This record gives sequence, C-alpha cells and structure tokens, in this order.
Amino acid sequence: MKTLRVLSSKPLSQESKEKIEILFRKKVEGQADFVYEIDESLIGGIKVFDGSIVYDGTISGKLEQIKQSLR
Amino acid sequence: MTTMTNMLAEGGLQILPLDIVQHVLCLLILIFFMTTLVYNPVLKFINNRKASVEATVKENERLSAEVKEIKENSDKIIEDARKKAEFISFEATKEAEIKSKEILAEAKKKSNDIIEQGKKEIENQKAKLEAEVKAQVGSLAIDIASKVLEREVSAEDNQKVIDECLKGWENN
Repeated sequence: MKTLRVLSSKPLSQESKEKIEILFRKKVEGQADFVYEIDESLIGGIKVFDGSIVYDGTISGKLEQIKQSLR
Repeated sequence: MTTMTNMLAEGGLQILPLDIVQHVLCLLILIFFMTTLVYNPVLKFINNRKASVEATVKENERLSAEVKEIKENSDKIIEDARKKAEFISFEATKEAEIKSKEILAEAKKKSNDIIEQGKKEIENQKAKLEAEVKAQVGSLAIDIASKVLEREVSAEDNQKVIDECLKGWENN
C-alpha cells in the first residue's frame, strides 16, 4: 500500500481531507495511506508527495514559478 | 770688286778658262753633294714629318669624331636612364598612393567593425543587465508578496486555493 504525504500551511478540514483522499486513490488506482503535515512556509494550498511525484498546489509554489519565469 | 776691275783693265789679273771650268766643276760637285747629302735627306725628313703630322691630324679627327659619337651615345643613355627613373618614380608613387588608400580603407573597416562589435557588446550587456534587474526586482516583488500573503491569506482563501488545485488535478 502506498503512503502519500500531504503538506498544508494550516490544518485541513475533514471535507478537504476526504476530497484529497478520493482523488488520489483514483490516481494511484488502489489503496493508499495519507500522512498530513503542516508547513507554514507554504502560505496557502497543499502539496502532495506520491513517491517521486510531487503535486504542488501551494501559493509559495506558484510564487516560486513566477520568480523562475522572470529569470 | 773695283780692285779686281782695275787689275783686269791693267792686264794684271788673268782669268783662265781652265779656272772657270774648275770652278764650275767644283760648283757642280758641290751642288751634287749638297743635293745628295743635305737637300734630299732634309727633304725626305720634311716629307716624312709632313706625312706624320698629316697622319696625326687625321688620327685626331678620327678620335674627335669617335669622342663625339661616344658623347652623343652617353648623352642618349643618360637621357633614357633619366626618363626611366622618372617613370619608375611615378609608378612607385602611384603604387604607394593606391597601397596607402587600401591600408586606410582596411583600417577604417577594421575600426568600424570594432565599433560595431563594441556596440553589440554594449547592447548585450545592457540586455543582460536589464534581465538581471528585472529578475531581481521580480524576485524582490515576489518575496514581498510572499510576506504579505503569509499575513493576509484567510482560511476561506486557503480553502478556495485547495479546491481549485484539486479541481485542476482531477482534470489532468
């Protein structure tokens, strides 16, 4: 069974957790465990680690993308 | 002479024919020897001398003509050499002018190329600098935006962001 790490800047609501789990169980096509962690530097949004694949939906990630595009 | 005439008149001096013949004979002999021993050699000497002088004069004339010819030839040669030298000098000057124009044109082209290269370099550096400044300003703006957002993002905004990204992942 896979274990996915979910980072967020603030504690997630139960509703959000359920949405995340439903979505990613579809993606991994099977069972998966979820570990939720807090990282205030993310500012907002969530980041999900599926092994080597990273799904970055954080505000800090978007700001970093903008910064890179200016270079 | 007067004494002799007086003596002749008085019958004291007698001229004998034999004496006359003797004297004439002596004169003739003298003339013969004078002619043979003096006149002919001297004449021969004079003739030889005259011939020698004439030969010398002819030789001088020949040599003068030769000298004149040589002088004319050498004058011609000198004149030809002078004309040739003039021509060579003219050609060399022309060649030098052409060469110097070529060198100047080449130098001008090189200097223009250097200037153009310099301008391009400046433009490149300018563009590089602009990009750097843009990136740094952008980076600074992003950092400031991060700091502001850290304070300003509410739970509701956070939820909106989460929902949007979940929607996006669902569609991918």
